Amino acid sequence: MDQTVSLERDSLILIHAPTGRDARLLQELFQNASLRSHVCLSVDDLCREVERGVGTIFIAEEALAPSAIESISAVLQKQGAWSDLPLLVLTVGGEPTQAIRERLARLEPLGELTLLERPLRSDTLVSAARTAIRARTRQYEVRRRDAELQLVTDNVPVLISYIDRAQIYRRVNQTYSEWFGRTTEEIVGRTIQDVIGEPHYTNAQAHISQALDGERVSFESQLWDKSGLLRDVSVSYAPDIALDGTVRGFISLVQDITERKRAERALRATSDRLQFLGELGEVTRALTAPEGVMTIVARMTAEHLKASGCFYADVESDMDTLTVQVNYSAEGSGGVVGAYRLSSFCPGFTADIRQGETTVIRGAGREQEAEEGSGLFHALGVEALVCCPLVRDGKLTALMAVTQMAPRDWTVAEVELFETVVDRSWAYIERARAQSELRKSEQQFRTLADTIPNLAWMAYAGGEIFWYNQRWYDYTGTTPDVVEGWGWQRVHHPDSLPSVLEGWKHSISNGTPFEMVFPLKGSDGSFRLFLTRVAPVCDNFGTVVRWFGTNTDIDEQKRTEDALRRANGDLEEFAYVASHDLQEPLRMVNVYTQLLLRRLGSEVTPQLSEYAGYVSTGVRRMESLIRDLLTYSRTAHDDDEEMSGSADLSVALRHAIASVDARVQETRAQITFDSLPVVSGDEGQMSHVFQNLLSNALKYCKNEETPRIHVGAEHSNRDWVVSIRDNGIGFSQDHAERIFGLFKRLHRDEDYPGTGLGLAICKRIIERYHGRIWAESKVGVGSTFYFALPDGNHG
Amino acid sequence: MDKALHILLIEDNPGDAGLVREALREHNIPFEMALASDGAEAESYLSRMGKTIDAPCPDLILLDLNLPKVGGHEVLASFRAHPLCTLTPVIVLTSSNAPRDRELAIAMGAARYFRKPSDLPDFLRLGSVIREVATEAGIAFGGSAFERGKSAPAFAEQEMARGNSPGFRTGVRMVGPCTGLRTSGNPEG
Repeated sequence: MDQTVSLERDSLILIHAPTGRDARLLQELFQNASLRSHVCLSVDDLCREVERGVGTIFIAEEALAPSAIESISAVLQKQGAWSDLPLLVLTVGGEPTQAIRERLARLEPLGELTLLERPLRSDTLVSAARTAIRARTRQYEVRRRDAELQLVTDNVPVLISYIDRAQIYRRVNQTYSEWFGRTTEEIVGRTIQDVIGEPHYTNAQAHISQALDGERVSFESQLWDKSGLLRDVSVSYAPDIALDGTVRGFISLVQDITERKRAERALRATSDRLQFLGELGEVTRALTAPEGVMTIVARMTAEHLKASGCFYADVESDMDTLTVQVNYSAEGSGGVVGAYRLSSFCPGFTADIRQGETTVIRGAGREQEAEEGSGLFHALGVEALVCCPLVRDGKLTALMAVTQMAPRDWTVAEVELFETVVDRSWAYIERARAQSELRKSEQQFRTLADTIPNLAWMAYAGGEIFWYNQRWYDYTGTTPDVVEGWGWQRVHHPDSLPSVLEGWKHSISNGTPFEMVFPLKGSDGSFRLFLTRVAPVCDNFGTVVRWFGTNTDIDEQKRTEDALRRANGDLEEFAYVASHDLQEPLRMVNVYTQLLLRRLGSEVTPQLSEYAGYVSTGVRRMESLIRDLLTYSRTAHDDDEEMSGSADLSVALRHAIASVDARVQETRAQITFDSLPVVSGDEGQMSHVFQNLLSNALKYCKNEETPRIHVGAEHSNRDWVVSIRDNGIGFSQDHAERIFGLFKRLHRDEDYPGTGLGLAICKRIIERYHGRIWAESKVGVGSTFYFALPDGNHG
Repeated sequence: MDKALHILLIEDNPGDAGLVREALREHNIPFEMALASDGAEAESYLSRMGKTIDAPCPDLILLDLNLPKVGGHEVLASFRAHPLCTLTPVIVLTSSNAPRDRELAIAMGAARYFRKPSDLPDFLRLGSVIREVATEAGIAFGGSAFERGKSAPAFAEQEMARGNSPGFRTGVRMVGPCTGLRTSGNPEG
């Protein structure tokens, strides 16, 4: 078929009238009528021209020799079905002969035959030519549209075919023929049954009948492609109904939906899986007994995977003995509960399990036939299984398996799903165990809590109190129904309740411990002060599950503390006033003794001077005694500010050295020291300790030797131990403890003046900061004073 | 005739009162002294002050903080509230070395804070402190440094030269003359 016929040729008139002047006359006539024509001198010429494209043919009857008919028939048969070439035969007047009739009959099916009887009027000829060309132009138009349609359909990724009533392919597009790997010609003209094959034809038969009854049909089916792959297709049949209502055939549209189907299946599988896992989590959340969790998980998993059974087994510490705790069996056979030895199973299976790997057996009989131990699977009625071990801290502790009584080809998705289920189950069991433990410990706690002297209670995470100990009810005189939840507010004082509520709610929303002192009303209606401490109890995931609270009666303690504070304040005031009032008379004694001496002037004898000296010495000694007693009494009680501070001992020592500078100069003493730590305490008081110890070292030095004093520090078992070592006169170790007592002195005042309070003050200061002070000494060699203070890093 | 310095001494300890007199004599300061031996007497003096002959308005007040009945701080506040004594220089005498007492006294407008020493020479230095305060306040008296010049005894001169005595603490100094005080409060002036 020549697809490249030009538009000019659509209207070309071919003339074949080899005898006489007819050809030339016709050409002239058509030329005058503006019709293009071509005179073919031979039949061969005519056939060539026809193949190149033609509008119509004028042929003289006498040229229709048998050989010519044959050639023309051959060329016309090559024209497509669309072609119905107008053939205008110029006959000789009168009835055509029998021979002519026969020849014309042969041409009839090949074109639209018109007989024009000569002689002809010119306008008749022109009119006939125009009519013929118009018809032919329409045929070409049809052919072009058909070609376009084919081009379009060939490029659509849908299998398109036209099938007639006899279920024979009339037309198929290229996609169609490519699907089956055949040429169009191999399909067109054959039956559906022939082309798509028996099983698919059987599936489609009913739909085909419906289409041939004039219905539009759509359905999904499967179809083998040329490579033998079964693919999913969607099929539509649209009937071709003639004007009179008869169904001539139908158009079949077949679309490959394999990918879409696959995606849909994957989506469904995922959503099924998610839904299943979601339900599993929901159902087990409410359970607190591990066995209950396992039972549910086993049943749901087996049902979801359509397996025969699912079991859970604990593995003993020998990593061999396993006890099947929970077994779900679809058929109710359930005989696997019991103890087994892992080593009795096939070695391959056992090894994988011990390594913590998921083991998949598709057919125990098939795969493990050669292996020793496969008989055990048979005995258990297990032919296929997926087994997931739980390995914790390198030890196999449990396993879970889903089983099938018949061989089963577990898919990757199924194995993965089971692994997920098992993973989650361990978590669910952990959760259930934790909750069960919590309940157990709660029970123990309640028993214990009823015996303690504090009021105690427990609340849910949200703060609703659900339990009080007996002491609470005894003290408050309340009953559970009125104080549970938030009813406890009735025993609070209205003044303190708002801040209690605020603090408690803050703790609940932040999960932080609560501590507060507030009064609670007793059964007698009077309030007592309680220290309340509430601690959150968290599960393994760090979520607060409970609150434990205690109320400790500190009323007495508080009163004692207040009294102590008052007493300390009084003592301070007393010490201050006492020292002032004790010093005043001394001042008078001293000043007026001096004034007397002054007034006496020249009358003062050496003896009087000596006596006055005794008065003065006595006064000074009394003054320093009073001063030291005051210092001693001031270190007696805690001052929060001083207690919480930190003291750099290096700084304290520097201050102390500066304060004894005069004595250092006088004795030419050498003082050396290590770097000293920072401790908790008051720097001024630490300096006082150093000052006392240094002045002792400087006081009790040997006359013949340069005093050497070394201050060192060592860290030892959570303490800082500071030492002050001298090379002085020393003392007997027997007195090592006595010297820290009040007014304890080893020497006469005339030899070594002192109040006997210095070391007592040191001891008092060091003990105040939870330290110790002691001394080691040897007569004639020297003394070392030590004090140890906590390093402050250990609460 | 030497003009005497009018001093009101509020002091409960007669021994200390004697020592104050010794210190003034030691420094050749002519003085007339009224003595109130407790807070109540001081208040009573204040109520009569400028009205009766026995209660002249003083040039200078020496106040012991540690008083029976009415405390020294209260007495000081009462004097400060009196229109004739708003600017009268006050020297606080005390045996207390507590920082809070010293701070409070300074805050209430004391010119000096003199801690009573237990050594005689130290105590006698009070005389030079009184002279210093009176001079600063522009009070003219017979024994003042401008008139007496070098006639002060050698002892006092030496004490002056040593400057900072351990017996007193320098505090807020009174500034400006107390003219109103002397013309109306001192009938001899």
